[in-house]
Amino acid sequence: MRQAAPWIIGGAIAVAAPFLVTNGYLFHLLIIAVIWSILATSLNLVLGYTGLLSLAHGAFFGLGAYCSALLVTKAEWNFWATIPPAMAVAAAFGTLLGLLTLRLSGHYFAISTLSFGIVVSLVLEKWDDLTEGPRGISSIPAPTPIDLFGWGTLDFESNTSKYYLALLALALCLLFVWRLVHSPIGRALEAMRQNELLAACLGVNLVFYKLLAFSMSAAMAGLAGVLYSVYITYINPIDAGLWNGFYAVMYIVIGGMGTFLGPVVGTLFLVTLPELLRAFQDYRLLLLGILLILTMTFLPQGIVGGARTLHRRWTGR
Amino acid sequence: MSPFLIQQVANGIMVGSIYALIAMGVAMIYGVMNVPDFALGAKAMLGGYVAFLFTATFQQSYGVALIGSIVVLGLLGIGVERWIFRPLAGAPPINGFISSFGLLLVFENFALLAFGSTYRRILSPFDRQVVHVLGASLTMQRLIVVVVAIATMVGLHLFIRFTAIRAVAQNRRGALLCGIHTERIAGVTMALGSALAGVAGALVGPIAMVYPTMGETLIVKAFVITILGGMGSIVGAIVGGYILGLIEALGAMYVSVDYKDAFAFGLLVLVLTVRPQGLFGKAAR
Repeated sequence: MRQAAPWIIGGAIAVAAPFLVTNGYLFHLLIIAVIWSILATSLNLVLGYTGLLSLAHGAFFGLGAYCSALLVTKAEWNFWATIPPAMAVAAAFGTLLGLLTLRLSGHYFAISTLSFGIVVSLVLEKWDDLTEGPRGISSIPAPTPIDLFGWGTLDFESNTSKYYLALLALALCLLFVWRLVHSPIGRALEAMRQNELLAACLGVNLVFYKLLAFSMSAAMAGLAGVLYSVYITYINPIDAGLWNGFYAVMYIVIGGMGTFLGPVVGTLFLVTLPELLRAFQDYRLLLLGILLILTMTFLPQGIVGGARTLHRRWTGR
Repeated sequence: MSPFLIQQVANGIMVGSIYALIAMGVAMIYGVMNVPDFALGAKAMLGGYVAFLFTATFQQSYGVALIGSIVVLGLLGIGVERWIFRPLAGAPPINGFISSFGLLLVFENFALLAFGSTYRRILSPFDRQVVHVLGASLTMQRLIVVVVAIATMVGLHLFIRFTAIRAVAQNRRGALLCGIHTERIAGVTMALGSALAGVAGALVGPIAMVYPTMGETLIVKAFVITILGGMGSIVGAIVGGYILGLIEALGAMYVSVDYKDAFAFGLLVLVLTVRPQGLFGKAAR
């Protein structure tokens, strides 16, 4: 029970947030932070638990967003029906990219994913007939209302409902990651991260497990993109560019690589921090860069990892 | 060969020189420090701005501006190695990569705050003189890019061959055992690599513009080139730079101008599937 208490409190705060945060702009940031948390959680599966630095997650995010937005605006699909194909497209690209690059180690992988990200945003920008080019896709409608069979309809026009939608998606993703990490697959990933050679000798099929983690992670990143497109109602090729992937890396590193809640903590911290430092608005990214370097130097395990170390020292365990 | 083709080849060699300079910096730094320096493109951008300051603000000649970028970026490289990469020595390599990404953020946003987002042009007296080579007409500046780049790369390559940098790149621990001050060598390498990027920025400034995000595509292409040439192989980086420059120039002519920036990726896919260790790399993985 003592184990569960922090989770229940955290969950309750997350559910009550729309009533606690009355400032409209802060609430907007909170929704954004929840959506980015999904992206960061998906990347954490690869970066944190498997030890692969993927810089293609911005592209998977963008692919999911574009896929859903195009199906909704051009083919007039029901929003809910676009989620599976959007995730599948992201996962398919992830699998293809993984097949090509996962046999390589370390820096080769990072650089290959980086250039994949560039090509995706380039194609989205130049394929004007399909993607509207640099103008992007605007006025993406809110999710289709759900008919509750006589109990009225559930619509998603308000920000509060979109917040709960994103929160539900985040909770599902976290649950998925939790279950995965504590399954035999998760143990294989952990073994690979710690010592690839030893894991291979123990019979772990490295490429298979990496590919599995990578494509699942890509699908999750695609889901984050879908939610982003439907919340912001506008996407352009820049959303699929490198920076979203970079920011996700930053959120994870500062929150704590390979910790379960690190990505969420890091995202919340970094999305809301600039508001606390409003005076430094122009210097935001400069300060973030410095913060990232300082974190790598002095606290490589991030906020969550650092807190865990402190906690252990405090309780003497 | 048609004059147009010769023109494109000449352009390809010019662009390839810039790529080769930065890729050589990446290969040097990777060889010694085992970190792909993601901030090197941003250092090229800073080199461009330094040259801009020297020519526009201090009214110096273009030659002085080139040397100025080398000196300023070299000093920056020493500082970066000492204060950012040296403390990370024992950490996993991924940490260095992430730190260099933090540096990229710092440099780009510093440039944005200091110089604004407007495109700046470095004034060079050589930009108006036209020379004719084999039927192609080139500005003197383009010729200077190629000549300076090749001279720098050959000189530096010889320098590396006969100094301890080579030893450290081959085996850091072995070099340390032989009494080589590996940390100092890392500093020197970082300084030289950064200076290479600085030269590249100052050279390309009069042709293309100088702006805060100009380094992003440069560094990604330099990375692709180092994979093409084999990670850490300096000759591979130089050859790869020219290969990519030529492929882009000819591809833009025969295939598509819109997707010019995607050719690097196509090349990467090809290399990764056919020869993952790169053209000049040892089969290590």
